[in-house]
Amino acid sequence: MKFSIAILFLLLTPVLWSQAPAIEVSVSKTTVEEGEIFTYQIIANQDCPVTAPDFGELEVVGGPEKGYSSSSYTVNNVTTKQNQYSLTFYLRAPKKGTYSIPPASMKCKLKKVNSGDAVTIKVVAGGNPGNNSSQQNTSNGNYYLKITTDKNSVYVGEPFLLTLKFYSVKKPTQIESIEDGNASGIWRKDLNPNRLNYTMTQETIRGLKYYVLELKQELCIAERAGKIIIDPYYASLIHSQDIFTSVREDGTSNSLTIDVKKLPVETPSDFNGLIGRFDLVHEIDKTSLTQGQSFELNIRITGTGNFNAFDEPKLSMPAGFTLVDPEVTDETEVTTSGLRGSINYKFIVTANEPGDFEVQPFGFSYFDLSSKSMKQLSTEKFTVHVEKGDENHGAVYKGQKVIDIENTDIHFIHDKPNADVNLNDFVFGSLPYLTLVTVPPVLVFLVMLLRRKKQNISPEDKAESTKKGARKTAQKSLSQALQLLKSGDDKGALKLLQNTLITYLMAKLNLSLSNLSLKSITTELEHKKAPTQVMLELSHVWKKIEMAQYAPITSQNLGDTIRETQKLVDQLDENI
Amino acid sequence: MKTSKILYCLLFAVCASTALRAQNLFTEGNDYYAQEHYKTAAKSYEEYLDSAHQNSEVYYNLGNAYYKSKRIGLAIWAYERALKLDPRNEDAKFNLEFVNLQTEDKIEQPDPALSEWLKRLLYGPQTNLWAYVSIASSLIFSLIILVFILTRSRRIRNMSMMGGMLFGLLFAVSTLTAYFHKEAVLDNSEAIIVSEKAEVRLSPLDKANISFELHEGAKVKVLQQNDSWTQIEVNGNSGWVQEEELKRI
Repeated sequence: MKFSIAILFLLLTPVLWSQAPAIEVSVSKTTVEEGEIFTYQIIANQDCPVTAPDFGELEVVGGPEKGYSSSSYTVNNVTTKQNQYSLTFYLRAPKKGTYSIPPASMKCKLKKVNSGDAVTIKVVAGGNPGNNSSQQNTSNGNYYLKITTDKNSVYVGEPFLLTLKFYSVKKPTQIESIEDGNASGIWRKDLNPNRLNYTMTQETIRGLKYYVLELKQELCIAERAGKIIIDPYYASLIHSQDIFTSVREDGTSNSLTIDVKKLPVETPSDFNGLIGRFDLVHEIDKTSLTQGQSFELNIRITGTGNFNAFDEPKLSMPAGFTLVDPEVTDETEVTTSGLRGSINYKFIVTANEPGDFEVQPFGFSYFDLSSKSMKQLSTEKFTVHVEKGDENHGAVYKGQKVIDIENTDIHFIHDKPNADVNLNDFVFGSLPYLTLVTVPPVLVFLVMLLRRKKQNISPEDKAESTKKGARKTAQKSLSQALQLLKSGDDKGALKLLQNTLITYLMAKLNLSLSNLSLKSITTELEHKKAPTQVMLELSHVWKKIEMAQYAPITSQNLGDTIRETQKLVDQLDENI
Repeated sequence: MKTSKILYCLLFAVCASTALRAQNLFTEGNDYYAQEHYKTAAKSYEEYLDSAHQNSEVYYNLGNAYYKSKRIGLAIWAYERALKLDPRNEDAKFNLEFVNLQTEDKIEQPDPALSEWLKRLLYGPQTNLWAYVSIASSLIFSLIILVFILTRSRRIRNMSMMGGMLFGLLFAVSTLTAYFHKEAVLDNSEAIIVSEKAEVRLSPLDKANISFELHEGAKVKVLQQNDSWTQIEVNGNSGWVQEEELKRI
């Protein structure tokens, strides 16, 4: 029994000694200004599901951010470890008053624990007049973002402005990014979407000098009645701390609530939401025309207001007229007082039938903001006279209709046969085809082989080939030398004779020009076992040619020498 | 010499009379068709096509005559033949699609978009065109290579190198196209069921069990022939049908 109790005690010890689940909350400030952001943190000692309280009218602008930390300490050799799990919310009070945040709760192992009493936040009036929501708090209070509006309460369709400004005690040097806050139920347009230059001013707020940078200005037009909430904007800017260090300052602005009212008057049926001040002009280029001709009708709306709500005019034309979609010229621009300018609709109307036709006026109503009353604008009624036209002269435009084809039968037969195909007479694969396709490349290939063979001939073979042709070449040249001699050109004949003999001997004995001398030739001939008589003959001829270069020689002697050389060449060719 | 001249004259006369006869049959068929004598028109077209001479337009007209005679199986077959010979025959394509909608059996066909597009692009009614292109490109290619071998001018060598590559490529493409075109025209591995109802049996025997039934106009793949029986495959199922119940495309 004792043993069982001991075991049970040991088993339960971790449970008994483990921490009991606990949860507590804290806020960064209990008294804040209107629009100031503060933190609300829930801290638990165990990682159990936490239920955040209902923050009521307090806006949650950030979070929840999860956090975890652990610490351990030893007392009397007993080490205790503590874990902390946190959830951080960023809250903002939209208006002054007292707000109560109920306790948070945590459910751990079927046990629910609460954080204790509710937290009370006192919100006092902000220090910045002119907006319905004050400044955005930041991490250190040295900078913040603020959006303001020129009107907190507007009629549906009435334009108002939103301005985003950045306040910082440090002079910002660069804008990194700007992100618009979400808002539904409004049409909005940046007044300066391609802005490159930003104006910076300085303001003293609560004793601190701030650089104020206007980041964005938007024209907004409410499209529905009720409360419209514009969520905080985000911006990120950089300032230089020193020449090496840049510091990023980013954050979110306050949010805005715009009260959008319904129009204070009854709206007529031709009112489609236009608010502002408008004027309507119409022009027609001709009221008398021939059947098939067209006239141009321009409707121009000018003024200031919510042009974005304007729909394309619906013209009511009499039967016998065809109206095509108008050409729209939008010349409106976004200004601080709304959309200002004009929109022109150019209609081309074609008369299809002859006769006199009355074109009914076009009009619409708008709400005049200055007088807070409805105003009606209308074009004038006009009559168009259409003469009967020549049916063969000019086409009558009757609009276009999609051609609807109904395939209910096969297409008709063809009346001309094309060329017959003989299935037994395909060119591809036939003998003539194969011949014509293969023979030309094969021939080219053979040519290539022959050429390559010729190019790849060895120096020995080349020398042998030259050797074989040497005699023939030499005899030919010697005959030419004789011809020269006959023509009286002794000098030319002698030169040709000398060159011929040298060339022949170089080719025949495989000698280079630098090695060519009577001695080297004789040695080579001895080596080749040439008859002595031939060598003597060569020596004789060689010397005669050498002599002829220095001493005058008669034509007769030169002729004899050439003929002797001819004989010598023949003898050498036979014996070597 | 005289004999050969006479032979040439005779040969020419025979050819001319054959061509004239064919033209007459075509006109005759068209006349019958216009008079709504569709069966007689079909006979004229059939007679035209009896010879080895095939003609896409004649097959197209024959398909029309068959369709008007309520023989949709034969009509589909004729349109298929027309398209085989000339894939660019738009009317045949339209009529084939139109008549196919009237068949009973749903036949799964592989998506032919790309192959159809290629066929229409490359295969025209001139079945030998690509073979001639192949011959011409081979000759030009050879000449260019010869110039490349023989010339020493760097400029001409560069130009001939480019030209050689171009015509070499053309030769390869045209040869392949000519081959595939011929194969496509001569291929008869597909057939159309032309009888009103064809019983597809498990084996080529009269007593064999019926596997499934096909109806007029169904397009099948021919696997093999066994006497008067043809083994076919359709939608992944195969079986045997009597030869006269189908007509090869």
